[in-house]
Amino acid sequence: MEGFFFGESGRQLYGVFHGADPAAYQSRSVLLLYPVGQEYMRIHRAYRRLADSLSDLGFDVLRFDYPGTGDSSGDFSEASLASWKTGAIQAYDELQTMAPSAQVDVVALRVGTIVARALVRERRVARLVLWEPRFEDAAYLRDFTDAIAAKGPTRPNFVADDGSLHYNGFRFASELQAELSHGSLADLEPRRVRSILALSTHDLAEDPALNRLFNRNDNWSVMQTEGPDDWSVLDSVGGLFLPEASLETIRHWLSQ
Amino acid sequence: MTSIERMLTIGGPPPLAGILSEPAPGDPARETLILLNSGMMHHVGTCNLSVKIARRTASLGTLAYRFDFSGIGDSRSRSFAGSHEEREVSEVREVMDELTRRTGAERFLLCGLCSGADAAMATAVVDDRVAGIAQIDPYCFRTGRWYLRHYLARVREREAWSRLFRKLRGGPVAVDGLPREYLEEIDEQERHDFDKGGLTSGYRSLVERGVRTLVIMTEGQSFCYNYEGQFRDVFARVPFGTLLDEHYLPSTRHTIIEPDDQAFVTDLISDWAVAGHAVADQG
Repeated sequence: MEGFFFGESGRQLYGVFHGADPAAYQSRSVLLLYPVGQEYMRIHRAYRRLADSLSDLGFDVLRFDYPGTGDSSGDFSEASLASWKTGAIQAYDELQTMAPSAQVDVVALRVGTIVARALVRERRVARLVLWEPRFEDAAYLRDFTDAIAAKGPTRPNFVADDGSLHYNGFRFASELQAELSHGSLADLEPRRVRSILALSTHDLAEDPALNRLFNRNDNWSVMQTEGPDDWSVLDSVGGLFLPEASLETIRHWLSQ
Repeated sequence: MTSIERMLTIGGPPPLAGILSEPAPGDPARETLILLNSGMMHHVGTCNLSVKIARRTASLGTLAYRFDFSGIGDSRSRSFAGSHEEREVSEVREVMDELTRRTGAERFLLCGLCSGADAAMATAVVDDRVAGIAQIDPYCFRTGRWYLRHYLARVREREAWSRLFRKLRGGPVAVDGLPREYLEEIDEQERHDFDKGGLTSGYRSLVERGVRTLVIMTEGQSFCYNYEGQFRDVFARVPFGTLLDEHYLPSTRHTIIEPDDQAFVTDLISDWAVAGHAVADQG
């Protein structure tokens, strides 16, 4: 496990590389795409655990912070989806530079699945894990706005006069909200990926739009796992999220 | 002032992973701020607070370093013969050793939230290089005034009265007239691993060395702290004088998710971190 900065000076990105166990090396790499906001905080340890176990299986793994998140340059309040997509492409290229491999797989969680769609258009991705995907991009932020509407605005969770959405300690600027409200999973070009796993604690096929998508191409796998599913929860001590069943499902699917 | 950030690993194997925020140009004669983990949260801190504090502190001309204790975030686990607390102290001291070697820094400020606040205190007591500690939600002890405010607030709550009446109709009632369940609720939240005498002598030793202390208390510590100035009251035998700067944020959660409060705490800690230089420069 090796942390490092990469990318342009002044716009550097922070990444952590988990080199493949030489004894198990299989010339395959995995790029991990985080969710954002408090979800990034909660899943960080699980992503590290996933990266460690994949490297034990012989994968070279890179996880990185999007611009404006974690240790990467910039502030979340000024972050943009466009910069996250660019960052993902940079991370993909960095991973291929550090550990050239025959194929690159991608694991993307929640908003990371939106970033993954853009990456698939620009780079060759062999296998793609879409973890807790929503059909409409707007659904991710709708979880937050629905919670505010149901419980009323509070000091941490509210929509400001300038339209920015504040939720669990992170400010989603109006421009970012607009970027996150246009697309859908239908924008994914599934033929550019050899196989896709859609993984959730819900029965994704119950969503008619997702179900149509899954049936349109034969390279989709859909799996349901046990585990906690409320991504907008924040406990009093900033508790971490270790969805072991989902991690194990991802490890197993990628190791096949 | 501009600043740059670079990866700086410490010791090992396995090394501790951390990031150095450096002002350009840097001044190693200044105190260097070290930001500690809070529980299992990795080195960016709650809602990226440690990143914000480090970058603002560096922009004001002071080195700042945020890192992960072994086994947390991006640092692998290490074997250590002592307790968890002793390991943390040992690793902070290792970080200070390496920062001295790499940057020339000789005086340090330690900052942490909750368990990070405890680690800052524990290290400061045993290491003379620590010139200041910034503690967010350190442990505190109840005072008579705490109890008065706590129960007066409940007297004003309609639900408290309805609970009381429910108890009076059949349930046991505590000596002070409040339902026993209130006291049990408080007792469950109390941390038992702190000794007031030990902390008092620890803070006294810091004062004797001229160590500055910044204390920020949030609503998250309401089970033991509920008015500004309580920390000074609790440790009345410690002659803090101007070395203690105490702030109470009664509507701020323990993880500081309120945007205004994040900005306030970021400014408060980074301003406090660089304030020592003015004193040192004058001296």
